[in-house]
Amino acid sequence: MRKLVLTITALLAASFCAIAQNDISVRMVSADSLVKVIRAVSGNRIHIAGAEKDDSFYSLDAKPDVFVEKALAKLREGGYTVSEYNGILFVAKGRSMTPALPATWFVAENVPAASTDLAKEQTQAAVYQNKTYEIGQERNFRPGRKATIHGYVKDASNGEPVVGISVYDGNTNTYTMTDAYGYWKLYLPTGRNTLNFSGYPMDDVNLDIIVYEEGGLDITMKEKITTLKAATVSAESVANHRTARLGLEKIHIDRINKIPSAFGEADILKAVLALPGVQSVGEASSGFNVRGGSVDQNLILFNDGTVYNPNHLFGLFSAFNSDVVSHAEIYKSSIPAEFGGRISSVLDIHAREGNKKKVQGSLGLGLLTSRLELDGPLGENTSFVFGGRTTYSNWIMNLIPNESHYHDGKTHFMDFNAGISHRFDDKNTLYVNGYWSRDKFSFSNDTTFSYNNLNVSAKLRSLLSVKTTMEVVAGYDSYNSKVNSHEVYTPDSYIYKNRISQEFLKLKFKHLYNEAHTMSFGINTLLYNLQPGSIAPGDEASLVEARKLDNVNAFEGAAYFGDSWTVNEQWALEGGVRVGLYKSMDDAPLRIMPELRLSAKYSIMSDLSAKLGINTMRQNIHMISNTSTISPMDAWTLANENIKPQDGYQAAGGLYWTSPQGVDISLEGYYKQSRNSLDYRSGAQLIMNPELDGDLIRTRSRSFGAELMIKKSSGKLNGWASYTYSRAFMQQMDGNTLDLINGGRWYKAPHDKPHNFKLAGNYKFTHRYSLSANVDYSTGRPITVPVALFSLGGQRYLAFSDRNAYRIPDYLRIDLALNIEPSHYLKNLVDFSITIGVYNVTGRKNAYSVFYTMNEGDLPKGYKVSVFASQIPYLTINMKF
Amino acid sequence: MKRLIFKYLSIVCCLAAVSCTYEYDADIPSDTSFFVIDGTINTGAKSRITLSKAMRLDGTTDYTGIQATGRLECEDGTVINNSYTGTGYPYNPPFDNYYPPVYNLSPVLEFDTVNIDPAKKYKLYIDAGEDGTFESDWLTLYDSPVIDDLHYTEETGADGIKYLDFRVSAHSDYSPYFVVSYTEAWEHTSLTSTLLEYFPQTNTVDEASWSGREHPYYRCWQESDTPIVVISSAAHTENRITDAYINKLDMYNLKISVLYRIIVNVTSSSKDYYEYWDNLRKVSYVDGDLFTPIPSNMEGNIHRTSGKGNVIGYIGAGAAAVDTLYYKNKGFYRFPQSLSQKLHDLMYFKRDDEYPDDLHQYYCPSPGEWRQAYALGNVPIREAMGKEGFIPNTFVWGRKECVDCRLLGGNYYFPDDWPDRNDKNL
Repeated sequence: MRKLVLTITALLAASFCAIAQNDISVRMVSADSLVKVIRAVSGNRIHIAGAEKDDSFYSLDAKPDVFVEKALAKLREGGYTVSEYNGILFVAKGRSMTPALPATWFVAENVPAASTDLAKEQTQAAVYQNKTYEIGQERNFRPGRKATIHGYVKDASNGEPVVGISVYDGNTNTYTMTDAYGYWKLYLPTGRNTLNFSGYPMDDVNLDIIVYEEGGLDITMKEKITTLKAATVSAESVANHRTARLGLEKIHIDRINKIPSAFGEADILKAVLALPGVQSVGEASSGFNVRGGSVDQNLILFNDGTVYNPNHLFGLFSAFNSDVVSHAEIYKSSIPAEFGGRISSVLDIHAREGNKKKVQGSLGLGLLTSRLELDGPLGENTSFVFGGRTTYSNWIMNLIPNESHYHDGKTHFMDFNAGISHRFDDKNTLYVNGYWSRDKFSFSNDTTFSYNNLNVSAKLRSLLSVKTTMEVVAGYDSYNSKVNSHEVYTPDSYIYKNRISQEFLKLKFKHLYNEAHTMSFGINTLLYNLQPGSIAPGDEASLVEARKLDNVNAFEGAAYFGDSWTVNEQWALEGGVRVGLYKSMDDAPLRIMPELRLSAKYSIMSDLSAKLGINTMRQNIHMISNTSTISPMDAWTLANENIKPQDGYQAAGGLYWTSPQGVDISLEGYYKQSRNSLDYRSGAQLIMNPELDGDLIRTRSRSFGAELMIKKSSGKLNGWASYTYSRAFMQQMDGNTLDLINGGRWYKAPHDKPHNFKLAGNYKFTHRYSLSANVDYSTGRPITVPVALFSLGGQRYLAFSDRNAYRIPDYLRIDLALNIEPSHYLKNLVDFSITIGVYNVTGRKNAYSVFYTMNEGDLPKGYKVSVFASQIPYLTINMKF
Repeated sequence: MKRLIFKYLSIVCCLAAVSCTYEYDADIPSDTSFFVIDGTINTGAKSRITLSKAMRLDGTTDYTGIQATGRLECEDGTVINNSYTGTGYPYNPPFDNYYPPVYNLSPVLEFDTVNIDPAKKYKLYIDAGEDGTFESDWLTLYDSPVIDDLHYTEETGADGIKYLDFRVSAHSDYSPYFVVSYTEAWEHTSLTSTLLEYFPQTNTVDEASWSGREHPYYRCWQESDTPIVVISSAAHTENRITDAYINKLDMYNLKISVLYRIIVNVTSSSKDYYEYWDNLRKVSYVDGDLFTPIPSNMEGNIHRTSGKGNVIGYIGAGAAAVDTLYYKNKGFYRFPQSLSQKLHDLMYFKRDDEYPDDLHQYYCPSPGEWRQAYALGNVPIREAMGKEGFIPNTFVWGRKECVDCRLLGGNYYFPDDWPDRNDKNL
């Protein structure tokens, strides 16, 4: 296994290096992009003006030694003039550049027309690069001082904010990234500066600016049309070497579309599962495990609201409509102090704001799902986004063989997203978002399961000053599940429900203290309301007695403070303190729970850095489950007098290297420990149990692992490959002899999978054709199996192995997809793209679960269930217009 | 960024089966073994501890005979050794004129605990030789609860079938947990009254030998023990069970065809004992449904002190309250419809010299003609009777179960305490 990994790594590295030796070829690039290539090839400074109105594209093949000359010739053919001054090239559309001020410039009554044009140009918002912009009034200029420059980065095509753009000043080595609103701010010295804006999937923008005083500069960026041969270092790579944060992965929606998935549906959670350190219990299962943590230890946020069940249809689809999602970040290790409440990870997902320029939408009709998405402006300062999905997938249940339990099953889900953003003025914007989903399914005619998610939130974002932003968010989240059982004899029919809801209020501040310190602080409050379970008669003939467990309420609050400190070019530190308060509405005392977040980065070289970090986390809410996967019957419980909050820490460290060809190689290791995770006693009754506390046991867990990842974001071949070795164990903390799981010894956690290899790759043969591949290998998950049959008290029983002593067979799945984009002409009314793919190319019958059946007088017989037991080809046709 | 206006005209082509189930073998090591120890330490009665080994899931066992001794040690140092040691415990099987005595493969250690002090604690030690040694936790002996009531009622189910519903009520001053078990015994007959006996050696039916028998061959007796049922009254205000369900016998059940007896034992137990049995009941339902609980073993209160392998079992302790209830059939029982039809299908065959599994001529009274048919395992029961008396060489044939009651279970031996079914006091 190890040799295979090393061989694949060597082949990838060799192919990346080979690309850099070939001739330079550009296809269908804009004038501005061509100038950028010229700059990269020649190393000279070159500026362009007037290209923003040029719709032409340029193509060129040339040897490196003559490339610049031929490229400039192409530009001249396109109507540009090329001038040189002091070794700097100026390329201008439709006019020539004046290399010096006119002789009469300082004579007030003789201002030439050219100077007026220049002045007009400086008042425009920066929509393109290679222009010099002045920030503030020149009369306020004071040399040797510092000023805060801020602004928004927006997409030129639709006006939506662009997230995760790196903003870097090469003179001072100052750096920042745009936040979820496309907002950035930097503390720069007054005078001349050069800002570089770069990030996927936008074309880089370089700006010369003159800072006179504090001020704003909004940037508009265009989507990048990359050359295939140029492999460049991505903004993400650069950002990774600047920040002290470990274990952070940013997920872009465009990249999700390239990952092959079952039934051709782009899925954000499937993209998360393709990352190292993130695993699921099994195919088509709900929830995921991050670095050995259990599924309830992940905080999943959607527009600041908590989503308790992030899946539809047994995990085949995620709860998030990718048409509506803007971006997502998953924090596996260095979790910022503003997040808390879960001890393993945070998945923060944001919805789009909607096109600011025109109304558009998408409509999809498929054999499994249909979806509708609309977004656009509502007036000058308001935009909306709306999305809905529904499914009608009963036909696929009928394909399941009769001997399984699910042949007669029915299943259905729908979800709706709605969002409005309204900009009151330059400083204040209101965002209102809502999400609702419903799942309903049954395996047989007598029991129906259903569950709903509901999230609503309102956020006011204000720029209190150029240095300080504030967000106030209020919202309501709820998750409820229901089981409707129609027994053969209706006297036994019942309806079981449980629900968890919360109201939250968050106050968040971000303050740019100075060029070295960016601070964040705030307060979060949460009011939980838990209805642990209720049973009612299913119908009029039912004799089931109605019962309801008492509601449980609790308050959770936290104040946090964090600082990101750029010490110097080599050192960066991030630290934070979060002090949590928790009070359940019983006799339990108020708990005060401090948490610490620390991480450090040392740049060994500009492209090689080492990081270390440690986090302590606490969690007051537990999911009660005695099944391997999230089930609709699972309930949540809160810490109380008898159930202690979970707490844990994670220490992680890593080495990160970016090759000159733009390949990121990282090796990250971690060690985690936690206490007070809940497991259940043998034979525990978890449903409608008023004495549930007595059936739960506390466990401690430990997990450790190492993740090796190779990632390439640009060029013909892009994607990532990773190998993870990880272990996760649990041990019961208390209980008498009768209750000790595995006799009190450490046992494998249900998600312990030592070996995991993932590959998510895309190879562009040309601009039209690309091949995507997805490989997922992991060790089978642990299971408990019956191992013997015995008689006791006149009855036959099964004896089981130690908890999780065995494993289901290893999991291996390979998916391939061919992407065809027939035309790239900008003026086409309709652009098509076609994806032909096969999910599970090898047709491997990966085991999802193992079960045993035992008929009277027979020996038990074991069966494994495979969800996708054969190849699943699919064809997807997209139309863009 | 261009937006997708029209999206996903997906054509999903699924091959024949998207998902499947396949046989799974966990490859369990061959040396996996479980030693099972089952029993109760009774006060006021003898105690029996049964030893056995679990069977592997492939149907094999490494059982080669358990040679064991045991002793009960009191906390004051006194010791009670087991009064029986051996590889089996004989019982009288049916057809003992053919089959040799069968020894129960699970050896039983019997202890004379009639006079043990219930106020003291005891510990059980078992030495099973090559199979290792075992030691229990200290066992607290509970005094017996009191059975307040044991009765049955006649009920009618939703399907219209009548049944007898047996219920017990009891209370205890010591514990809210009750262990209920019962022993059933019943007398029944063969389906018809004959003077024939079934001979398993030749698989034939012939005239019965009367020597040594007091009862006609169509009357048999049998008994069975039932699984332990644990009931909790912990959620109640009193340590009491009221009308707890024990058993249900429908009107076609052979057990109530003549005379039926149920002996109910109720014992108080600890919470651990209750939970152990309750968990066994729950995890006995094995199914791979996505949302069924992950099972796991519970350790009992007896542990291995030497040797290899796991041990299963929970030793109960305490005095049992016992009550007995008889039921005598006075017309409630109904002959099963399926068997009734069999009797109506009795045919009149010519008796052949050959064993009756070939094609034979038979007389069908309606419409009154001779036909041919295979005997299909039926045997001649008695000479056919016509209007003018016995029809020569013509016999009523039927299933051999009609002839010999032992083929419905049980044997001709009746315990000494079995009452006469004609006793008017029943």
